[in-house]
Amino acid sequence: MSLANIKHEDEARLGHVIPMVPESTIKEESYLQMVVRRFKKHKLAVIGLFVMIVLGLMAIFAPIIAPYDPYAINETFSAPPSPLHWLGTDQVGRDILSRLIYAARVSLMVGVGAVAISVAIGTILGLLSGYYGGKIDMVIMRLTDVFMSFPHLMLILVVVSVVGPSLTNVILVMGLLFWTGVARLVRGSVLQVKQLDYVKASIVLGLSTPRILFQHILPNVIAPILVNGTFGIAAAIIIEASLSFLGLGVQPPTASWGNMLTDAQSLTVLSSQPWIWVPPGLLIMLTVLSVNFIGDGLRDALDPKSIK
Amino acid sequence: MSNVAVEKREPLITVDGLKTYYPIKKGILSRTVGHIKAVDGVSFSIFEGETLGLVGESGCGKSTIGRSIVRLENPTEGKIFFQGDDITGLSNKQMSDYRSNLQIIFQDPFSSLNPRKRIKDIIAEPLKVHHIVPPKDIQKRVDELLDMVGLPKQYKNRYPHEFSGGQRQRIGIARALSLNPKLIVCDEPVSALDVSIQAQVLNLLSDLQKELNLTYLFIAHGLGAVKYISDRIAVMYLGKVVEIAKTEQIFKNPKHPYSLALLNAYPVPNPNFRNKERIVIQGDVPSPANPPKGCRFHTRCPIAMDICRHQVPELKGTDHAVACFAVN
Amino acid sequence: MFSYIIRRLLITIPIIFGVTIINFLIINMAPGNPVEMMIDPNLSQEDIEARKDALGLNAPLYVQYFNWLMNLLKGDLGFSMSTFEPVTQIISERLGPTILLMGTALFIGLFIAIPLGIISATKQYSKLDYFVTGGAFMGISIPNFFLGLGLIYIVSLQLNLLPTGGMVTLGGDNGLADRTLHLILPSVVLGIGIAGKKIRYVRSSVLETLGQDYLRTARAKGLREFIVINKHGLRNALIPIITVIGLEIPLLLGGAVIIEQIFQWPGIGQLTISSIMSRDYPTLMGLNLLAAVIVVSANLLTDIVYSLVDPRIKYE
Repeated sequence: MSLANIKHEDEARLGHVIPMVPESTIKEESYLQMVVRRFKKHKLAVIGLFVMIVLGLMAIFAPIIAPYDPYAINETFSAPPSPLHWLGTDQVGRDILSRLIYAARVSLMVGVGAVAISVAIGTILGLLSGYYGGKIDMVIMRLTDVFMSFPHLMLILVVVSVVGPSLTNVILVMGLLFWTGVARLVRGSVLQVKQLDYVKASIVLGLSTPRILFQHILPNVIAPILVNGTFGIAAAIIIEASLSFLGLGVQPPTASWGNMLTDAQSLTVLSSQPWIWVPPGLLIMLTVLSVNFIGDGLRDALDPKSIK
Repeated sequence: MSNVAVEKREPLITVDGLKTYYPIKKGILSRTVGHIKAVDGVSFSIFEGETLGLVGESGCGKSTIGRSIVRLENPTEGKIFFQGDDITGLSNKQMSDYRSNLQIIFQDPFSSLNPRKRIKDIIAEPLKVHHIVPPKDIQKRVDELLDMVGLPKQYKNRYPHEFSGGQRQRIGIARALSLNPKLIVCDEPVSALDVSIQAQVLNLLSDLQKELNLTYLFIAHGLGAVKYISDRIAVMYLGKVVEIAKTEQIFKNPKHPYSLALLNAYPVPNPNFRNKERIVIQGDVPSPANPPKGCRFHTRCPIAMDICRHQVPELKGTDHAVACFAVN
Repeated sequence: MFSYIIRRLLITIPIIFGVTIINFLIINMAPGNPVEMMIDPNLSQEDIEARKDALGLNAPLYVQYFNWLMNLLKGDLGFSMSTFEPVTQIISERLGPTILLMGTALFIGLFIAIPLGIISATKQYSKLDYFVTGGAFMGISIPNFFLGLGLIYIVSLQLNLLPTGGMVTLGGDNGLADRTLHLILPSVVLGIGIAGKKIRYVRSSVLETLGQDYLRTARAKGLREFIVINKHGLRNALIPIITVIGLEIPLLLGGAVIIEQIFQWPGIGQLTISSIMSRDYPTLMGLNLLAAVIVVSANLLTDIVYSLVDPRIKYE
């Protein structure tokens, strides 16, 4: 029996085109649909997302929603809540509700801005580190070790005090210092993905390195970046609030939830004018809690191991 | 089969004295304390239109050879020639001229396709990057390639996870074919598939070979798969080729005791033809970090002589080359 | 194992080196010259000029860095720009209260987190579990300055139970009871942040251990559930938790800055803020460097302890 005979027999028996399973049964939900379905199961994350959408709309439409100009000084100082000023006025007589609404812009801008910068830096460094390995990897990883050796808040405080406190500086400094976690995470994922045969196939197919990095490796490490970025937003919002609280972040008269609490360092305000410091504190907490819930929901939804 | 004609042609690819060592690092300063000798001096040629089967136990270095040919590994020593050109020391840029000629199909059909890309994009990407066809003809070419590997073109909008292992392997083949390669390294392309699917993929590969005049280096750990598709077979043991000959020679008249042992491990369907005196080799494969002196196989060889323990046998012979003192 | 520890120590050297470089670069961004800050400000103008020449202030940046590093190695961090005392002296005076605060906070954090995490894990998906996990989320989401202010408002001002700030009552007896009362609020606030993070960690560590086959074996042997969990499960679950305590140090140090400010706790956190306010860069740099050295040492210690406790640790 010759080789040719065997082949022809097989071909006749099995057919060249394998029968396909009918379209309806093979049709599976797309990756995105699966993530959405699993995210919806996390009730708190859905609530968190809803809160963030409301806060986002509040920030965007602040001029329409806010009852007063946040900088306008009214005749009454430190007035308790009243039908005229629902949440009262602050020590210079500005409407607290209006300032709270405008301050949402600051918090969201800081969270998104700082994380966007740090994720961009961390992703690129992590990709390079993981893909090339060797000396590049060594240098980048030692650099992250060095940056991770400073307590975040301490380093940011010192740098901000040197470059001067302002909204832009707070965003930039956080963005430039926060990338280490993302870089490590991306590097780890790249090390895993790069062992997979489809990356090797891309090399053999002669695809350029940037193409392999950004089109083949990056889309497959995006899940951990997304989760880490979400928790990063929460951290950035807290740090901005802390800096502003200490007077080293967003500078008055611009309203930030953090600097609205600054006055509560005086015992008089703390003890007898709670309407000045409780609402911004609660809003920071609500925002950070929502973002953390979203992050937790995303982690469950994106992690292939946590199938519930 | 036209083996006689094949031998007269120029070799498409020649591997000459290939060595691939991986350093073993240890200690405080990560000093290199030794080497894993994955491939340790291998030479062979593959002629145009031919299939060379490369067989050996896992860890013998057969995949490393395949990966070295497509430049996924950099050889420690030795040279690889493609149509007479030395491609060993080429930079990535210089190599890009040869990339399209040398392609590979992987063993695991589940990790060899990017899970985030649609089938049409997976196949179209190399066409775009290398400007194989004008942009307006890309989709047409994708359809043609899918048709060539026996997949209906309606499925091109799907993602890899919607396909079975055999179908994925076909997509991998279509992707490799997109660049019109001359040589395809088939790195155990059917070992991860069901037995019934194995035959289909093997048939597809051999049909494509005839149709497109392809050359294959077909890597497998057993003799079963390579028997039907190979013109010649090279048997490897611990980083060295121990025997290389035409397929029917290997099956009818294996000369190296290791080839004989491999053949005996291959199940014979008809009980009447079963070899009475089976050679079953004992023990495990020694570590490639510290291979035995002399003939690598002497520790497990049933006919080892004194000389085998001290001298390394060379691969001798033209049509049927064997590296064994008992034969030469 | 020994080789791993030596390697880990060797890796620390370039990190410390990098930390000093970053620190030096930040000083250079600040107004004024770092070497200038090293000079005793009590000297006359002529003397300062003479010392500038002697120190080679016109030398390139890397030479200046080298000089600064040499001084640093001698334990000379320069002089404070506001009190004119040596920085090392100022910092060492403030270190004690911060260590006391951080230590107590860590203890409180673990004291809350470990039992709650274990209960949460053993009663997974129960109401109690949801309550504890939700509480942990609150713990990590509430800004510590808001929690601090809230506790001062309720506990100190409304209920009049504890002092609002400071380490001792002014004009008081400075006794242990007085000190303890002052310590409670700030360390509880810091501890709650730690607890929030650690509860989730303890919970998942215990859950992972409870799913292991050897626990199923223990149950199959007929051991009572209490013994299964406490004798076979917890020991393996808690070892990693104890060993990664060191990783909380950066969080504690950052938190201390804010908490000490709110509670007027005379530690290095409050010193940081007052140095920032008075633009006292030499002190600030000393503090930043100290913080980094503490974190690096804590990481080093954590890794070493972990490698000693967990035999599976790789020599990578």
